[in-house]
Amino acid sequence: MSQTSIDELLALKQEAANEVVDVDEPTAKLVIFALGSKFFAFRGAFIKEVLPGTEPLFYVPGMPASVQGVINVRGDIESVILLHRLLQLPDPEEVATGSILLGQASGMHSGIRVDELLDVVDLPLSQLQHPPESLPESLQPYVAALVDFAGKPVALLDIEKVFADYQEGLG
Amino acid sequence: MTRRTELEELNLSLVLVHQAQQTLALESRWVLGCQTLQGQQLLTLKSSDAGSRYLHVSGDVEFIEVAATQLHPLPALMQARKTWPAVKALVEYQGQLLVLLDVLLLDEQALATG
Repeated sequence: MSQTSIDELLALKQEAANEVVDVDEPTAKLVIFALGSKFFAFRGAFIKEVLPGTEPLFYVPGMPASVQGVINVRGDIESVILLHRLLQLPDPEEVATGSILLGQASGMHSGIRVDELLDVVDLPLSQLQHPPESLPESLQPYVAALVDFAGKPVALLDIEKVFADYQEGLG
Repeated sequence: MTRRTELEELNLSLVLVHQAQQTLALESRWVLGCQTLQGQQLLTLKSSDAGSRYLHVSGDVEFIEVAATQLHPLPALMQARKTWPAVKALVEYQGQLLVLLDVLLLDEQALATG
């Protein structure tokens, strides 16, 4: 049995460390957030910006309860909406003051108030699972996939469907 | 001349109505006059049939002018969902965003509860 010198071992180790690991698997950026006790996500490609919950918000009368108001984002006026009713989740107990996600899809855009921004992650597409049939009926039209985050299921929402249905008067 | 330059040269005359805890804006061209009556402001508004009608306001009334660049359309989702048809646009004024109401669609009861 041939003896490998320490120098050779170190060189081998260096080469191994330099090997490019093939991680060509396509990934998706997800913006993960909480609404009440449930976790949801949007694809990062549809979220232009995340604004702090302290952004000055202006109330606009004559709107459904799910419209919190408007914000001025460097001269662009954006609506701020709540998704609780659309997704048939309990209304927030207090005035929601979590982060505002600026969503944009299919020519529609709006701020979306979330209870808590949890993370922004790049996940391999293989980790996205088809939503199970047992998913609550109220969520089925909006959930494109499920993914695990910190041991909890996260429902990836189809923002285009969310905006389209909201515009049609749901929620 | 670009549209932006054109807008920068235009001004918008507004009447601000301070009602309850909010301030609403009306286009001043629809406001014919304002008088105080028993501690309340009484605005005389033009109506679509070239006549006039009155609007009681419990708070102060203020006449202002802002650059047309401070006028913003209502965001599309809000335009689609509004339940008060008179809500027409938004105006930036002194760091606030105010609601501009369409006088012709204004309903006094809605103004009081809006």
